Amino acid sequence: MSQCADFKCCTDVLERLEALLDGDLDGDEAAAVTVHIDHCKSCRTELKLAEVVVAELRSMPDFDVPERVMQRVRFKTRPTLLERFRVFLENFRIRPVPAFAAFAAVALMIFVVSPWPRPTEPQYSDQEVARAVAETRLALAYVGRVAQRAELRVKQRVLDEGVAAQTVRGVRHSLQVIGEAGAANADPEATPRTQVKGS
Amino acid sequence: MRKISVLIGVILAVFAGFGGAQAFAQSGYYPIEEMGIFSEGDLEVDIDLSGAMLRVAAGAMEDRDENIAELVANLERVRVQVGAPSGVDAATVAQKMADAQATLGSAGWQKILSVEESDEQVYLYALESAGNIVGLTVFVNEGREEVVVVNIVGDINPETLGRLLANMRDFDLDEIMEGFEQ
Repeated sequence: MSQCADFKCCTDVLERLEALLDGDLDGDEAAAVTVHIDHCKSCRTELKLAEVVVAELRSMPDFDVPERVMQRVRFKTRPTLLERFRVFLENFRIRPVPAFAAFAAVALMIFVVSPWPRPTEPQYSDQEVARAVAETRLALAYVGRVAQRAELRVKQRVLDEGVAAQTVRGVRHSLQVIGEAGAANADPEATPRTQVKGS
Repeated sequence: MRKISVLIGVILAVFAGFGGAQAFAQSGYYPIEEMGIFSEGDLEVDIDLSGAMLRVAAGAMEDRDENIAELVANLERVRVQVGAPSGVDAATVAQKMADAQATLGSAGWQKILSVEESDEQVYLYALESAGNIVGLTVFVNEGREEVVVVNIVGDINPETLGRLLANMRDFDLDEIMEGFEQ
């Protein structure tokens, strides 16, 4: 394989053989490749081989491909959404960042100047507001009433079972001591004047 | 591919079911009207405030009491039902309240106050999330004389609520009720 200086090296020409046979090269490129092949024996041999292969392939009979296989092929070779979007931008020579900025600016302008009603807080009359305030205060008052009731019960329980009961026990104890002392000094047969029930 | 789709579907269904079951537990909402205590015509007070109305009420309260305004501004919903149940007996009312308490308890609500007397039972439940109260539910059962059920949903700062309850003299219930009836 010889090196060439007039157009491309052999590697570049061999890469274009298939395109040349299919007629996909533009005029100048096809002419340059043809000129190279005319002067390069190895590339000419490769071209002849490629022509035979293509001719053989084209002479092969068509056969039906099962739809299931075709679906899998289509699925595997389908462009992604991002690729399709890229192609769309490239087709229209649009650069993504400026395009997005422009879109955002237009959307903002439409939002600012549009006469469409935007969601706002509903308007209430003074009477409705006053009623809402009263109802809210009522709800909180019930919570407060529960707290107050619980607090009162706790206080009552402390008084009943703590302070009051302790005081009663103290008084009983004192009376018992007084009673026993009095009984000791008086007639031992006499009934005590003060009797404490329980302890 | 189909297996992955099925797996994703199953996961979504499980999470959707879990979310639905835990909805009121997470939001602090408890459907008090579904307790089935009151019959038609029993309710003396039936309050249902939410969203914008509560924010408007909070704004109107700012001049009188900043604590209350702050508390109310963060509320999402306030439900109050007060009445004398006519369709059920006292034992049924007590049972329905016990069922409601069991439901709240199993959903992570905490009983923070309770008074249990022969003629009166009072319970205050709270649902906590990240150090704040997100729901309060109150049950007051005075037999067939009066039953009160309150559910308050929202971001309730415990300190603000504490200050509020400490100043409950400002909230004379009878006075409020008189104004409410007018």
